[in-house]
Amino acid sequence: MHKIEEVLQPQPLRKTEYSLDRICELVEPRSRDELILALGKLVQSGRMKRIIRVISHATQGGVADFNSLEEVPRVIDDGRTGLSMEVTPNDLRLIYVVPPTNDNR
Amino acid sequence: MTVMTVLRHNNLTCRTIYPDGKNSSRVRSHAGQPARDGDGEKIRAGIPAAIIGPVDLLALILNCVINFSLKRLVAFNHNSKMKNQDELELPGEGVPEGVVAKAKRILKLMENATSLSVVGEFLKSKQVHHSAGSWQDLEEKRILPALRSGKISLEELNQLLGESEEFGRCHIFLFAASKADVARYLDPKQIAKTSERLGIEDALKEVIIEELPDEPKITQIREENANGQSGWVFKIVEKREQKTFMEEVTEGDTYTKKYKVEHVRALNIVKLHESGLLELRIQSRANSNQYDSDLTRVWTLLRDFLPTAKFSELYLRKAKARLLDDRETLKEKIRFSDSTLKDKNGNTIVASTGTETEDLFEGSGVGSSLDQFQKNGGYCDSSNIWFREREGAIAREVHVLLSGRSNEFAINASCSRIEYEYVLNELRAINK
Repeated sequence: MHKIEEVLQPQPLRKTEYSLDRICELVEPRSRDELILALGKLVQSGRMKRIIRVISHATQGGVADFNSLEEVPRVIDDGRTGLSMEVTPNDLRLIYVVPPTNDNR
Repeated sequence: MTVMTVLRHNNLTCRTIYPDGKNSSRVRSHAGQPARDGDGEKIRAGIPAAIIGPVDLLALILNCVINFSLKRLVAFNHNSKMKNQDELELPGEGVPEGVVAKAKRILKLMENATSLSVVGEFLKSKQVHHSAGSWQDLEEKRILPALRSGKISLEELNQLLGESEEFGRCHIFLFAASKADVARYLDPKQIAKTSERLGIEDALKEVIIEELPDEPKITQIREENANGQSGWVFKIVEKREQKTFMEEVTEGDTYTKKYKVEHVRALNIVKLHESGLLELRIQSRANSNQYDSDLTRVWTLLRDFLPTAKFSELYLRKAKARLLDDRETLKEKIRFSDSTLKDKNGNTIVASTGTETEDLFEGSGVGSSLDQFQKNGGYCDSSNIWFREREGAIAREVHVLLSGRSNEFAINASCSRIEYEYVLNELRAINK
C-alpha cells in the first residue's frame, strides 16, 4: 500500500490518471488481484476515483467517462469526430484518477 | 494457372498437366520412348503421331506395354488427376486403421494451422514425393501412402502439427516464480502423479487429438529440453465462438448487420522453464483484444500443476521504454511501424507510419517529437515493432505487438519455433 501511495501521489492543480496496467508497471505488485483490492480501498476512501472511459476510434482520446459499466451506452456520440460510434468492450478503458492536491472532491 | 505434378513408377514418368482447366496426361519411358498424350498417341514437339514414321518391333512391344500402363494411368487420372503414391512407388504395409484415422485428424488440424508447402517440405526431408495441389491430394496421395509404407510415422506427424500450431497467432503473457518452487512443479514424478489423479495420464504418453472439445482440455504434457534448460509444456485445446461479418441488410426501416457465428478450435500453450519463466500463449482472438477470461480459464485448468499464487507477472515496462530510448542502437534489429505514448495527465500521442513496411524513425521528425513528450513525463503505452530479418537468426521479419497487459506481447501471424524463440529471447534481453 505504501508503494502505491508513493507512486500515485497527487499533483498540485492538475489531476493525474493511470490505467491499471500502468499502475502495475510502476508498483510491480506480487499479485494483480492484491493490487486491485488495494486500489479499491483507496477508491472507497475517496483518495482516488475509478472510471470507465470510452475512447475514440479515431484519436484514442477519451469520448466520455462513466462510473460503472452499466452506465456505458451501446452507442455514443464521438465529439472528436462528429460521428456516432458503437461502443464495444475494446473501446473501454479502466482508469484510476487521482484528484489534485487542492481539489476537495 | 498450370498445375504440373510429376510421379515416378519404375521407369515411367507420369505428368499430369492442367492447362487452362483441361486435363491431359503424358507418359515417357526412361529408355527414351516418345511422349504420348492421354489417348496413347505419340507427341513430339506438338507433331501428331501419324507423321512420326514407322517403328521397329522392339519399340512396338514397348509401346504396347506403355499403352497398357497408360490406359491404366489415364483411367485413374480421369478420376483423380494425380497418381497415388502407394500405387506408384510405395506399397501399403498394413498400418492399423486407427493410425490412419489419427493421421487424417492430424492433417485436418494442420490444414488450419499451416500451409501445403510446409508439409511438402517435411515430406521432402523424408525423401518421399511431396508435391500436392490440395489438402485432399496431400492426404490421399502423399501422407497416407508414406505412412503405410513406414517412411513417415504418426509421431512425426504429431511433431509437425506441434511445430506448425504452437508458435505465432497468439498473445503471450509472461510470469515468473522462484526457482525453488519451479523445481517442484517440474518434477516428472509429481507431474505424473497429478496427471493420474486428474485422469489425464494419456496426455503424458501421446498427443490427444481434439478438434472442438466441449470443455477446454489438456491434450499433451511433455518435457522439452532446449539450450541445456529443461521445461514442461502443457497443450490446451478449447472450442471458441467466432463471429465473421456476412452482410448488411435493409428491410423497410430496419438495417441489420449479419454475422456468422462459428465454433473454432483454439490452442493455448503453457511452458514452464527451469529458469522460473512461465509463458502463457493464448491463441489470438479475431474479435476481441480482451484476454482476461482466457487467462483465468487456463490458470484454473492448470491449478493442480501450477499454483497461480506462486507466479507473479513479468512486466515488460523496461523493454517498452528501452525500445524507444535505445532505438538507434537497436535499429539493425528492430523497426517501429507505430507507437502510442501517454502521460499521467491523460494525454496521448499516436505516431504511425504510412504503411506497415516503413520505419517510424527513419528520416522523420517523429522521434524528436516523441522524445520531447517523454521528457515531460510521457511513457510508451504500446508499440508495433518488427524484428528484422537477420542472418543466422531469422529469415524474415517478425511482427510483434506490444500492448494490452503489462506482461503481454502478441505475434499475430504464424511463425516458426525459431522465430518465436528469437523474439522471446530478444524481448527478455531488452527488458533487463
